[in-house]
Amino acid sequence: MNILVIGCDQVGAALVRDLERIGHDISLIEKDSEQLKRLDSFDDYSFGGTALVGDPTDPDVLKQGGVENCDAVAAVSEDDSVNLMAAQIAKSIFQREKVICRVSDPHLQVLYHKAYGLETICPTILTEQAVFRALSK
Amino acid sequence: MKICIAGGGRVGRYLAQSLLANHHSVVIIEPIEAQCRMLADQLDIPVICGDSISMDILRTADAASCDAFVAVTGSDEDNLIACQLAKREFGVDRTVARASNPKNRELLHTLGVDTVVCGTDNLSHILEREIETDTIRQLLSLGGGTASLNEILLPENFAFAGKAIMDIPIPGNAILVSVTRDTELIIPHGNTVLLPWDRILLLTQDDTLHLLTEAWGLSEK
Repeated sequence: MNILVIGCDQVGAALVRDLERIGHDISLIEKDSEQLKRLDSFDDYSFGGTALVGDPTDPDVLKQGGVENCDAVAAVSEDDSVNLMAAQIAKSIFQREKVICRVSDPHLQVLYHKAYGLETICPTILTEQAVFRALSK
Repeated sequence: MKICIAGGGRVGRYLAQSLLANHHSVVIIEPIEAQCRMLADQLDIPVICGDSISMDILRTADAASCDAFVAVTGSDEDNLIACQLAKREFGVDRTVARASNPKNRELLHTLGVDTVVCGTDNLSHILEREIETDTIRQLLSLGGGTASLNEILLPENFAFAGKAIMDIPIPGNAILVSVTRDTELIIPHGNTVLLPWDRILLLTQDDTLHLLTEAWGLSEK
């Protein structure tokens, strides 16, 4: 699959690495060029996709990143608003069907899933549940 | 009206002041504590310290009781999300967002914000016009800065002096609203004649105004 990843913090970089390892073609958009250095920090892996420094909430930048031809979009930056805006643009302007969005605020996660049809993933809830499970063993 | 302002920076503060002067009731949401303290000292209104894209904070600000929600933080994406929450979750009738990036004006509107104001864009339009000619004065900006009502003083050497309006080219999207000659106001028809020193009011789409100034020779000083 062609996958457009937005954000290259620790989550984004690890996601890009894992997706490339199983054979996906990755295009990456990140605001801050410094963050792209993370891609060089892994052992036994070097980034083979295309990376673009730019504002992921700008439709022109998303176009440059190949949003029109990708099979899926993953907005996983650290900023909820950036992810939610970029995901909505991908979904409603570029009509991408598979759009996944990282949302740290649990309230926003539920709302944007229900009201805007985005596939939202909430690290806060996932962490809480993991800790809860670990404690209830 | 009760109005909730997200973002207590310079824009938010001046907006609050002018709304208060017009007897509206105002509440401000601002994330920086020191800024909140300053706002609370200067203005006699509730200031909520927190993030305007947090449901809890919006609830504390009682967004549901507001008639309008105005998001003027420096972040376009925060302004979008805050307006969407205000509308969807708190049922606020009217949402207004500030867009710093002119490209976002249309985009935020498409994504559900009722009115998008782009200061950068409005200012650059005004500057553009000031540079272009000093015979045109913008009186009123309309349609979120896409159109305006302008007053034009026809120069002594007006290219179409003595001609009827129906014989004068009006390129672009524009309507002649009125003609003021000395102290007389004329509602113009096709056969109304324009003369030098007439002051005319012109309703126009901003991106076509330059066509008219060129065709009428108003650009030369």
